[in-house]
Amino acid sequence: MLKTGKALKVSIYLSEGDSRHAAILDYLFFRGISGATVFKGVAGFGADHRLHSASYVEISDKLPIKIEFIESEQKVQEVLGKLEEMAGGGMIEVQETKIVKPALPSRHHASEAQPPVKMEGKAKLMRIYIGEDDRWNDKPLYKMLVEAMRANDLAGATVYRSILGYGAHRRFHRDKPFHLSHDASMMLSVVDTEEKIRGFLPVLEQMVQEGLIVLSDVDVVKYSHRPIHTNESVEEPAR
Amino acid sequence: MLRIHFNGEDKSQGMPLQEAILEAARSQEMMFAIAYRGVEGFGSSARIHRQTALSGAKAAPVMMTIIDRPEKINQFMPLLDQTVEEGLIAISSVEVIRLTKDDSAAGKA
Repeated sequence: MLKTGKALKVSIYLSEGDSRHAAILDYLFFRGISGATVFKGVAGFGADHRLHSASYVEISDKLPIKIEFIESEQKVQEVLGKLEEMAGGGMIEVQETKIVKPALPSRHHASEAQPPVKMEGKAKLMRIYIGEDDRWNDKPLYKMLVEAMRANDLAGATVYRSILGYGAHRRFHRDKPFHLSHDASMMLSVVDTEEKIRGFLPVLEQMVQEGLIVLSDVDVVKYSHRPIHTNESVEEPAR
Repeated sequence: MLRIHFNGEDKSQGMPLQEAILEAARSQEMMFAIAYRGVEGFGSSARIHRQTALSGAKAAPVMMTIIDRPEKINQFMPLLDQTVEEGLIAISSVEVIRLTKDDSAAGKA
């Protein structure tokens, strides 16, 4: 949470048309930034030196957008790299500022994200069972959980839809032919270090109203990032 | 955590096996049961089971997961043995965190 005193104010300038601002806002949210605001400009021009404005005859989709947030220097450094990547052609500005009175939170704070850790050997497999219809902030919960996991740098997540089941909410569900079921149980599985998984639990507790979370020990045999190594990519299946 | 792997076409007393297992789990008041259909796989017969236009989704393998305390799982095993004629059953220990609206109980299962 922000305290009175020195802090940094970050402004990101984008164009409305590229709709990057929604992704950036989601990212800031899930990284536990204290607060952020998206401003919509009325007119402006950018690097291309073309004037963008809204008029009655033609609605411009290139109006300027500004995302602003204030955070501690440490937190800003943590997210800045990713923000630069996400902002694409947009401009990012950081300025020193002073907090005179921090805003009071209405709910408890999400846990702080940790930098990515190389994973090998012992790890934890987390399975989360929720309903397909479960929602969070009006969006499908399973999708938002994947977003939250991504923002918290978890190694990866997979979502499965069940064909049959009962449990967490004691409802019976069955996939019938000719019926589009929207009440299937969904299972999300994530493999990461115990530390990272445990660190993510407070976020889960905040987002999952009803559901079952199961942790088990696994051995990670291979985990490779984007620059693919020559070895065959085989991950040990869950026990 | 109990995991049962079998062929999607398997039946028990005329009922699709996944439904029979689910009914059995419910009758024993097991905490949680869920079935997934795989995309492709093979079992003891070494025949590849996959979904084709002719066979529909039913030919693909099915995996069921049942979660409860070790005592309950052990009690459930004889009934499960009767229901599943052919298939693979695996047990592993997991840590359970349960999130509900009113209470949250955690423990080993």
